[in-house]
Amino acid sequence: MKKTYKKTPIISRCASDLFLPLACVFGCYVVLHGSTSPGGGFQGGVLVASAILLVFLGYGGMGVKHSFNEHMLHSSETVAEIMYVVIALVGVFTGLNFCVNFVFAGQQVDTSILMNDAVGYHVMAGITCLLIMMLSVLEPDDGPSQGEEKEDAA
Amino acid sequence: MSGTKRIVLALTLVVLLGCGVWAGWRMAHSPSTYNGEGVDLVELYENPSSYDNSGADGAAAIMVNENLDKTAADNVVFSVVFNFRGYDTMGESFILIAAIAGSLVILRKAAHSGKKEEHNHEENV
Repeated sequence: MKKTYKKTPIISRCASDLFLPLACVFGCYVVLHGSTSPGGGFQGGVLVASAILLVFLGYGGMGVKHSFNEHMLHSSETVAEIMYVVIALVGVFTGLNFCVNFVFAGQQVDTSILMNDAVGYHVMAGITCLLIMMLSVLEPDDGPSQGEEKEDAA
Repeated sequence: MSGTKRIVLALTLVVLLGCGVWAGWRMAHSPSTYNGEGVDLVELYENPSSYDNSGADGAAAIMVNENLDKTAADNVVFSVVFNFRGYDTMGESFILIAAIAGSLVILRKAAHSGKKEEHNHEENV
């Protein structure tokens, strides 16, 4: 039995195909550009995470289930938070304060850029995980046959 | 609750209260660091660019005058968020973790019950 995606209107599918790369690239730009502009981590992470709604609009709940790994996102979110704390603690081990940038002036690379990226990834994974759970409640599986197919795919 | 436990709890609370009272007493008798003297709020509000901040003291002066030299950041807001207030950002991240974990506990219940029904159906078939 071949399970196909739920048929959505071609307009919404084409629109999601068109805007998905733009949304992802713009979110990544906001995260990576956060060091030279005010803020960045939280806002860019939420922007990237909102791309899942475009996938849902274009391809339905099955598309979301096939393209995202929820358990990996949920565990890597915690890893990103641990990375933030570790990078912040490096300042303590070099004899300075917590969260202090230990690479001094004249260098383009500093630690807060890495902390910004960690926060961006953490927010992206967390909000994506949350949205997957909400969408699975919003659109439950149609029947047992679809569930069996999902088990086989996993 | 047994008697020993109650005594230990009371002792702990008394020690904590004593530490708090001692810290408050020390803070009340320490010299003041910044009392707002010499800050003209009206002038600061009306002409923020031409306000003379050379005489400011405390953490505000450090943040305004020596910020970029101290942190090697390109943006003042970014350096405040990730250097001076790094604890704040870390706490926000932990709040996000807690919120997502709580939502997962509530929302995953429905998915798990659905899966169980599917398994039962498989066995029946």
